[in-house]
Amino acid sequence: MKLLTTNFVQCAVKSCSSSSNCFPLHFTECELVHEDLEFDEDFIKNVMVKIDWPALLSVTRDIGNNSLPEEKPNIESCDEQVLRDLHLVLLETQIKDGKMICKNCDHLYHIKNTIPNFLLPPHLA
Amino acid sequence: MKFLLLLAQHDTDFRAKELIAIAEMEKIELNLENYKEDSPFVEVDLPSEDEARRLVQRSFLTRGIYRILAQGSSMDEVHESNKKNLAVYDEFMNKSFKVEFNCYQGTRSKESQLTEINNLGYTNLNGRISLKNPEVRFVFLEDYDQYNPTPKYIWLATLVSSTARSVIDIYDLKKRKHVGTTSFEAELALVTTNMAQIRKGDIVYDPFSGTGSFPIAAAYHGAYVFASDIDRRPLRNYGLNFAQYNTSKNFLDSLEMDFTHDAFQSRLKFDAIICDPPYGIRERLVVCGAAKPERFIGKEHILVDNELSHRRRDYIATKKPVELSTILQNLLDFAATRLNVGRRLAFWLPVEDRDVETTKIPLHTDLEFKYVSVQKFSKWERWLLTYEKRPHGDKGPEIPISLTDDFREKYYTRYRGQK
Ligand SMILES: C[S@@+](CC[C@H](N)C(=O)[O-])C[C@H]1O[C@@H](n2cnc3c(N)ncnc32)[C@H](O)[C@@H]1O
Ligand SMILES: [Zn+2]
Repeated sequence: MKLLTTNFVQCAVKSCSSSSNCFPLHFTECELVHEDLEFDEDFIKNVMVKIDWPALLSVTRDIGNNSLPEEKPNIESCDEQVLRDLHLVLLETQIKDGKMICKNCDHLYHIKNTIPNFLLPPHLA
Repeated sequence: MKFLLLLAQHDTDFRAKELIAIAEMEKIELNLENYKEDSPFVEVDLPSEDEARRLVQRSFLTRGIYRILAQGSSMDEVHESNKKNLAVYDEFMNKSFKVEFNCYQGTRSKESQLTEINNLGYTNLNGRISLKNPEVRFVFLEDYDQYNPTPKYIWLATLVSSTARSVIDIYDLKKRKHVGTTSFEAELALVTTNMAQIRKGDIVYDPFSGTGSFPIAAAYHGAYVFASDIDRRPLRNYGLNFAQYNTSKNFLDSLEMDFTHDAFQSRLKFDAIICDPPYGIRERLVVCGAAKPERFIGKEHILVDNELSHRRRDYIATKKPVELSTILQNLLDFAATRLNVGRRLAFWLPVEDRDVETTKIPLHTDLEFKYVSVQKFSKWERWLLTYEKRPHGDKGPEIPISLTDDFREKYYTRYRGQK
């Protein structure tokens, strides 16, 4: 699962969706992998508009990456290197294995072989 | 300017709608009043060759677009009309060229072709003849009635643009690395991306992605895709296909997820949603939950090795059957809130014993119904429904899903029973 995706997923339990604690999920015991991917400047700019920066910082801290600045970079005025760094973090950095926990209901989701599993047990479905 | 479209002569119900969808996204005014279901030829009026090119470049069901130079019901008429219009040849005068024949439901002998080509001498074309790589391709397009040796109509035209038809072969399932029983044929999966007006940079979602036929087709246009499925198995080798088509960068993620309990934040908006929902025939039609809830009372407290079983990495969530109509209603509701305004949902439905003319197409107040196209099989049909997200505050009528509840049952009693 790409870090980009962590910025768009929350706890799948319906009763959590109204709580602000269901996003971002808390990530632990994550094993990361890197995949080289072609850089697409337009896409990074487009997607940065949609990124919730504090949520991204929360996830990168969870996985032990403290490289991102406190403030969301201004993509209109930043130089290409900043965009390339964002490409590296958002798209090329992937969680191969790990756990995601809802800060509202404490439910635990697993990421197995890069695929996150959001299926719910009967008592939460 | 007058142009001639040459269309594929199968899946005919999709051809005009594909062109209309492309014309809308390219902001080209297109009048298809000359379109006939049983003919591959359509004359259209367009402002210039630029529009002609943009109209067909991404079409999968069009073979080519030609600029008409002369036309008539016989070769004599064609040459006569051509001679009245010789000024158009000025621009081709010194270009290398080639003359071809394209005959529908008929043939013309090599000798007769040569005669007609030599008959063009009066055009005074000066350019070199190049069979491999001509700058201009002149084409006689001939329309025959079956078994009749003389054509009923002939156009002399120059090829303006080829289309995306050659892509179909590249995406052919037979050559694809990762396929399964649910994989969707390349041609109509690609056509689906045109109905949904998918373009470069879009974010597209397939909630029932299986082996990824639709996300792969969307990535062809340079769209970025999310995919999910309640079944993990087809998702495992997902990356292989994107690598095969050099679109790895366009594959964002595949998630193991029940669409009726999705994890996407509602602030993530999609530019298109395309899919082939489960029908319960080649795949299970299920959601998370227990079919017999009483059997699961208290199970959330079960410990395995001191760990709650449902929190373990190897836990397998129980699933229960669900009606197709529930899934489809979820799909319409989801699209209504998660699509960007003006963007599209396109999905497939198996249908039996229904007449598309008289069937009530399901409607959602926030989605404008665009078109339905029908693919016919011997005993059943598959419909492709396309909707567009209305502007905020713009409300349309609502018709609940009713046309599919019985499909699975019918299928089983009828075909299974026969085997
Ligand atoms: C007709 S298949 C689509 C196949 C796909 N187009 C492909 O290229 O392989 C429907 C898919 O829906 C999945 N499915 C069934 N119920 C689901 C649910 N509740 N949520 C998500 N996916 C589901 C099935 O596992 C199956 O893979
Ligand atoms: Zn939760």
